Amino acid sequence: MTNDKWNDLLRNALSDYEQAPPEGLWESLAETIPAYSPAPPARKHVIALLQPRRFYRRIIVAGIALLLSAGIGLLFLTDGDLSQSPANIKITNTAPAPHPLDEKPAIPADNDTHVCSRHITSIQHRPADNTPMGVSADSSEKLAPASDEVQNIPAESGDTVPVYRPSVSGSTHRYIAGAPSDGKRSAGQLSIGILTACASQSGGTVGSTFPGGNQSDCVIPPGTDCVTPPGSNSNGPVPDTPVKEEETTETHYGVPFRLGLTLQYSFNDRLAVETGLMYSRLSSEERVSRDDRVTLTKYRLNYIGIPLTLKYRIASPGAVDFYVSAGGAVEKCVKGDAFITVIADDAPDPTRESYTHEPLQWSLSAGVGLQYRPVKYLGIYIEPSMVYYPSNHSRVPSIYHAHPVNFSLTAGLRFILPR
Amino acid sequence: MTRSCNDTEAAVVALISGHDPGAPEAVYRAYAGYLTGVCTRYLSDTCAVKDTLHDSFLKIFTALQSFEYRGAGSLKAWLTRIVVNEALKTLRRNYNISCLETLPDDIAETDIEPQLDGIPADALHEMIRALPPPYRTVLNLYVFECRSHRDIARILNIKESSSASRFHRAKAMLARSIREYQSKHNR
Repeated sequence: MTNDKWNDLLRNALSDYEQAPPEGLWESLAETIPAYSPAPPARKHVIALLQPRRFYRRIIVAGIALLLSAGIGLLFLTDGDLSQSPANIKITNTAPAPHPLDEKPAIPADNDTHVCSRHITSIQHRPADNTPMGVSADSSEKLAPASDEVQNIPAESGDTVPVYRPSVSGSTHRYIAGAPSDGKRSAGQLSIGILTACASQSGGTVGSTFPGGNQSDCVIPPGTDCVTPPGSNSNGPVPDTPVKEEETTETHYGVPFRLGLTLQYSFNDRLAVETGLMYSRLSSEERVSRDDRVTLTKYRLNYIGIPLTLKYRIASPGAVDFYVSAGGAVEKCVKGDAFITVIADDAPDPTRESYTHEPLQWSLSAGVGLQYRPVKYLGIYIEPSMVYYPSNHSRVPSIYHAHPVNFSLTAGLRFILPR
Repeated sequence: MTRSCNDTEAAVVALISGHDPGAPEAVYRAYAGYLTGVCTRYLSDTCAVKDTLHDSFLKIFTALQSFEYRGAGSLKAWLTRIVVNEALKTLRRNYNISCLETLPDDIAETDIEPQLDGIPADALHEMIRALPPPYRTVLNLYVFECRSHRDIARILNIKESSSASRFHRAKAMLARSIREYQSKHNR
C-alpha cells in the first residue's frame, strides 16, 4: 500500500466521525445568540432579500421621512410675513411724502421707484409691537407726519398699491432682501458636493457642498402688492417723524460655497454619527440708492462650523443604502468684510469694514440619503435635506437670514475606511 | 458526502441565506458533533476542547452573514477550517509545538502500514489523540487537512524537514497502536 493510499484510508475512516459536544457548550453559546442580528442581505443575493413585507415597509418609512422633511420645510416657508395681512393695507398715495423742510417741492417719481422704495421690510427684525415696518423696534421715531396735502390724497381708483413710508433711523439700515408681499418666499437652494469621504469607526470625509440660493432682489416690479404694516392708513394715527429721504435697496446673494471634512462613527450596522469641520463662504451685494447717491456694499463672510448629524440606515437592497439623517451645526464667522463704495459726486474713498464678533450661526437639518456602493470602500451618495437657520440677530445681511429655511441637495463621493 | 448530509447542508444553507434568526442554532445542531470530533483530534485536554469549540462557534456565528455557499461540502469545509485554526491557536498557546521536546525515540519507522479494516472510528480517533502533540498536529494537518509539509512548516514555524520527520514518526506510532489493537482484539 502506498503512503498516499493509506493516508486516504485514514482520512476516510474519520471523515464523518462525530463526538458528543462538551456539556453546557450550547447553553453558554445561546447567551450570545440574542446579540446575533442577521446582517443585511449580501449584495449579490438581491432577489432572496426582496421579501415584500420588509422591503416595502422600509420604502414606506423612507417615503414618510422624505415627506416629513418636505412638509416641515413647507411649514417654515409660509411663516412670518403673512402677518402683514392685506386687510391692514391701506392705500394712501403713490407719491413720496414731501419733507416739511424741503425747499423744493417733492417731485413724485415714477410709480416703479416709489413702489419699490416703499417695499422695504425687515424679515428678521419685525417688531412685535406692531410698529410700522422699517422702524427699529427700539427706535422712538415714528413715521413722519405727512403734510395734510399728502394725507388727504385719496387713493386712485383701481389702484391697489399700498404705500409705506419708511423712516430713516440714523445710519443703520437693516434692509434685507424681502420676500414678495404675498408672503411666499422664493424656493430653496441647490447644493452640489464635489468630494466626500467617510468611514465606519474610523476615517474621514472630505466634501464640498454648494448650498446655492436664488439671487433675490428686493426690487419690486411695478404693480406688485407691497406689504404695508398695520395701522398705516390715511385715517389712522399720523406718525410725527418727518420722512426725510426715499431710498431703494437691492440685495443680491451669491451662491454659498461649503467645503467639509467629516468623520463618521458607526454604533452598529444601522446607526451612525457624523461630525467634523466645515468651511462656508457667503457673499452678498447690497445696493442702496438714495436720491443721487448710490452705496454699494459687498459682503464676504467666512464661517467655520462643526456639524453633528445622526444617520440611520433604513434599508440596503443590493448595493444601495437608504438612510435618514438629522442634526445640526454651529458656525462661527471667523472673518467678515464689507467693502463699501459710494457712487456720488462727492463720493468718499471706498472703505472696508470688518466683522469679527458676529454671533454664532446655528442650523438644524433633516433629510434622507441614498448611497450606491459599487465597491466595498467607495460610495456615491445624494442627500436632499431641509435646513433651518434661526436668526442670530447679526447685522450683516446673509442668505441665511433671507432664507432661513432651505432645501439643500448634497451629492458626492464617500470613502469608507475599513475598521 | 452522503445524500442525507447534502440535505442537511442544504437546509442549513437556506437558513443562513435567508438570515433566519434560527440559523446559528441550526448550524450548531447539524455540525457540533463533527466539529467536536475535529477539535478532539487536535487537543487532548477536555477543558481546552470546550474553550476552543466555544471560541470557534462564536467566530462562526459572527462570520455567518459573510459565508458564501460554493457547492456541496463548502459549509462543512468552512466550519472545519475555523475550528482547526482555533485549535492551532490553542496549541501554540498551551504547547510549544514548534519546539523539539523530548519525544520517544524507540519508534521503528516502517513502510508497511497496517490495515485499517475493522478498526472502529472511536478507537482510531483515540489512537490519534494519544500521539504527542507535535506529531499529532502534523499528522492531522497532512492527512486530514491535506496540507503540504511546506505549508505545515509555515503554520507551525518549523522546518519543512521537521514536518516530514514528525509525520513519519506520527505514522509509525499510529501504526504501532493499530497493530497492538488488532493483536489485542484478534485473540
